[in-house]
Amino acid sequence: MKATWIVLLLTIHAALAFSLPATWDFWPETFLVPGQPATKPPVLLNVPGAWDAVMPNHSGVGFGTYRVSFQLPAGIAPHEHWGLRVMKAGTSYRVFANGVFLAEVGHVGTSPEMTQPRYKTALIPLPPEMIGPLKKLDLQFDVANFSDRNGGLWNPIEIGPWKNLVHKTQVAWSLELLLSGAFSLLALYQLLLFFFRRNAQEYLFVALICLAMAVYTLVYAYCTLEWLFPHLSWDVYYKLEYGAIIVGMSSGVGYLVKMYPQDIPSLVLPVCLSLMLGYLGFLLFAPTLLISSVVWLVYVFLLGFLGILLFGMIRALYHKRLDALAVLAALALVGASILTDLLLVNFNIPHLGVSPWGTLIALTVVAYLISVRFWRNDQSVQRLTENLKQQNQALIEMNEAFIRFVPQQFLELLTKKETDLRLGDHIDRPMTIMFLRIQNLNELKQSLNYQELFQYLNTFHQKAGPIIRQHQGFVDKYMAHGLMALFDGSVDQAFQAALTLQALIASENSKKNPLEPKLEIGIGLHFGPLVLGIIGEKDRLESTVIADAVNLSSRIESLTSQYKAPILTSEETLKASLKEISWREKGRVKVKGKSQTVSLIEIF
Amino acid sequence: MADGFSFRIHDLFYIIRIYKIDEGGEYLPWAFIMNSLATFLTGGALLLGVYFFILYFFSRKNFEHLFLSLTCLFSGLYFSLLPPSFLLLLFPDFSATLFQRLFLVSTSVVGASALLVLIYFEKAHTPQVLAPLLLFTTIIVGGLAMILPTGVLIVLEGLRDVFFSVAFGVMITIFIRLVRQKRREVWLQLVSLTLLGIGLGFDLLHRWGGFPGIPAFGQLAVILFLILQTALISRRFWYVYELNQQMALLQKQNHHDLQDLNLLYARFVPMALVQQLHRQSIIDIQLGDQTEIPRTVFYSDIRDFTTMAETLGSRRTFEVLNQYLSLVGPIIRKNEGFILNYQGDAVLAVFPEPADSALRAALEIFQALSEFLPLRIGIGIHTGPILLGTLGEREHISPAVVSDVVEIAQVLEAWTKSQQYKILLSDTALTALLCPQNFHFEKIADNPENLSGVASVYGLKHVVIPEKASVS
Repeated sequence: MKATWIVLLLTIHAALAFSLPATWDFWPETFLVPGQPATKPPVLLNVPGAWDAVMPNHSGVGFGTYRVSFQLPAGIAPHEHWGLRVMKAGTSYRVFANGVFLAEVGHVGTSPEMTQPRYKTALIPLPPEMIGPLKKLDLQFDVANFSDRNGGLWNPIEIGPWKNLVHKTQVAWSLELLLSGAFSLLALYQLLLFFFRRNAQEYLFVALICLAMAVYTLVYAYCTLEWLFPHLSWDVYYKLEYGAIIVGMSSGVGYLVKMYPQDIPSLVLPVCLSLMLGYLGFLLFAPTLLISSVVWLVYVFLLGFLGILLFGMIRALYHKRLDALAVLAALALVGASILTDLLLVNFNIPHLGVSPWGTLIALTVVAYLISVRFWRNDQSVQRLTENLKQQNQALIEMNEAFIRFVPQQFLELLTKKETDLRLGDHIDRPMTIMFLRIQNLNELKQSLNYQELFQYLNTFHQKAGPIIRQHQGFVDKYMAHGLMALFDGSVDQAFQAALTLQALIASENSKKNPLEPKLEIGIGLHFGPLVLGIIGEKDRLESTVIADAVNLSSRIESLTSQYKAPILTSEETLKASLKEISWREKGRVKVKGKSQTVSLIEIF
Repeated sequence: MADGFSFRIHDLFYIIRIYKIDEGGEYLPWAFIMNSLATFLTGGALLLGVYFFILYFFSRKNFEHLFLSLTCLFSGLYFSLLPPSFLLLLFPDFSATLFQRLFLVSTSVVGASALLVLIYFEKAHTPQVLAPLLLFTTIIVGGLAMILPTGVLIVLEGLRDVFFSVAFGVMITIFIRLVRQKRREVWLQLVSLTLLGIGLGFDLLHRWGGFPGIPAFGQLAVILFLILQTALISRRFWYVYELNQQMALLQKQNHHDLQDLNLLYARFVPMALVQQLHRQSIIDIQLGDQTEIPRTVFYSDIRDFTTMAETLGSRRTFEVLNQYLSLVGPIIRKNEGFILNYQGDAVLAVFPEPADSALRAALEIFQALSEFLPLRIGIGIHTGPILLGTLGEREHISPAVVSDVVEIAQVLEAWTKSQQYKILLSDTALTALLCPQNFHFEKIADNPENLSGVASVYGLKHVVIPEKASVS
């Protein structure tokens, strides 16, 4: 199957048409009468070729008659169906064979007003009676050009069996359409990618290159578009061709600027785009003759951009940028395929044009590269995320280790967001302070080893903490001999907490066997104004409570063993309570720093 | 043309005969335009097919890329075979049998892979059995289409059409249900499915029911389907990309937050504890960890601080206190001590056993206070074995020292109120000095009451601060 395709493609090219003589006669500024001999001597011209290339004094604008006579080969059947194929010529012509009118492409006249150019690959059937072995054929082309810088039959004229010419043309058209379709859908895909992410302009530029190539493919060689839309004027196709080249090149620059912004001066893109827009405006409004006479502008433009592209790419390669080699390879592929085409044309080797295929492959590579660039970017983003996740896990562990030392309830009281905490933040309000003291610590120290002691104390703390929290209190700090807690709620809750704690101790002690040390605690409570806040310095912070009430409650607690009352409080505190509670007065003490005495109340 | 063609192939050639280049060298426009469109779209479909295949090749887990690629590639084949087939135009000698077989294969693969694209797009929400079933059937149909005698192909085609109609119905039901669940972009999938259904349905009606065929209807449906899917894939591409970027951003934010929080939290942790308890990191410190070590304990307190606080007001009090602690903290650390905790305005610090550094710190603090902050303080220093450890609950740990040494240092500090000397130390601390000659003392009491284990109390004369201890 594969072999068949290759053989088919090869046979399309080889041995299809019979070649015409290269040298033709030309009479400038005159139309000869078909079938009549000329009165003046002709100028000898090469076909394909423009007449102004041969006659330096003659401008490309003008008209004239081409004639050639030749003998058909011996091997053909008589009355075989033959035809002519004329590619785009400059710029209108009519054809006669043996003096008989065959076809007119455009409208031929002797002045610009009477002449109408047409951009077309023409298939012209020859009358069967003219075809036979060794038959002589006289061809006459009346050519007129008032639209282009160059006039005459620029492109090869082929003669051969009609079937072959048609098939050859069909293949060419199909391939152009296939290519154009490929470019268009690639453009569509890139446009969609750009549409969903407007800041990824490299996609827009690749889409524009593809679109320009899609148009260019349809107008440049066989001009398939002309067959689909024959009513559009010569100007439109002419302008489309140059417009596509300029848009394609500028978008190429745009793409590279977006890909390698560090390697190409940022000024290049705006300059390039404004030049492009300027030239497009010129294309839109200028007559084609003017456009073609300043066609060197396009070449300057092309060479300039090519220089910039090469400069940028070599710099990118030098700096070992991502994909620089692949992009350079794609550029080289385009360059090489264009060069191949030029060489093939130069040596007159029949071919279908390699450059669009080269460009298509290069563009597919380029489109893939930008997708992959985002892909890789995406993957690196994912790796980063993974890394950060791991680091965050470690930080969380650290955080969990630290937070055990952080007075969280303090921070909650002081600020909404912990990281907003400032040294010196404090609040000023009355609270109940509880001092809880383990009265038999020395006894415990003697009967337990250190590990057991810490375990013993912490077991108690683990039970005391929740009870305190249940009553809207929180522990300021744990100390060797007990703890200090604050109650932000009502005094009653502090009382309840104290009672619950004592009840807990009692029940724990009753469960212990006689050999185990029992726990004895005293609790002092006092309600009063206090200031709590964060103090410290650069390296060390702590929560602290500054108040007389602290000293007072500590003092009250120290009297618990003396008064044999497990929970003692002050009269002021009792007055601040709202609920009924059992209490008894235990005595009055003078407290240091206070003028009045404090009466001690036991609650139970 | 060989005999044994199905009527459709005859139709095809008939169309081509009509629309062939006429004697005038011009095409009949409709067929030419149709043919051009088919060629154009074939080019596009083939390129997209190659492109998506490359994408799939480099990221094998995206099966929707593979199936979209297959849909595109076989659509290309299908377009080139559709009347007026440009493939036949290019290759008039193309084998008619092969043409018929290829037509069957291409339509089967296009239908199946189009459905598979949708299945893989919504993989989590479509029955698992669908994908293998479709794949298996397509492979069987494709294989049979290539080997069966041409006469039986029409039966195969009929069976295939029945199967695909059922599969299509199932897919439509699934996607309608998904649309009802308001899943992202599913309605677009339903639209493309419906488009495909209408286009191919017309073709089926035309094929089997003699329904007047609209040229290129199936072709149009397939190409619209391809464009829609391409759009959805490119959209999903960005969607995933942006999602990942947001994720990274979120993690970064988390990272910064955690770092900030840890910086704050770390200041609440006496880091020296890690080293004192012979641990690697703060993470290793557990509740109840303890160690008994000989140390010098330093206890300082500000005179009449609560009275001062009342006159200063709470804001100013905190300012003064923090100024004071900013003086004290660095001096303690410089002299190899660490602050265990603050108790109101009091500072409890632990120093190495030789009391030199504790004494030097005490003297430096007085020096600094005389220069910068008019505060009156007292310091008590005692040396002895202490039990350093962690007390509290698992979630709330306080570093603590369980030892009489602390209480003695506190009592010594309290004594300074009634003494001329503001730094008092025990005889144990004195004997623990490496270089007693650097300091000047006066004995102020022997066998003091309330201080069991202390033989005598000394007052430190604060004159010139000695240079760092050097054992001469």
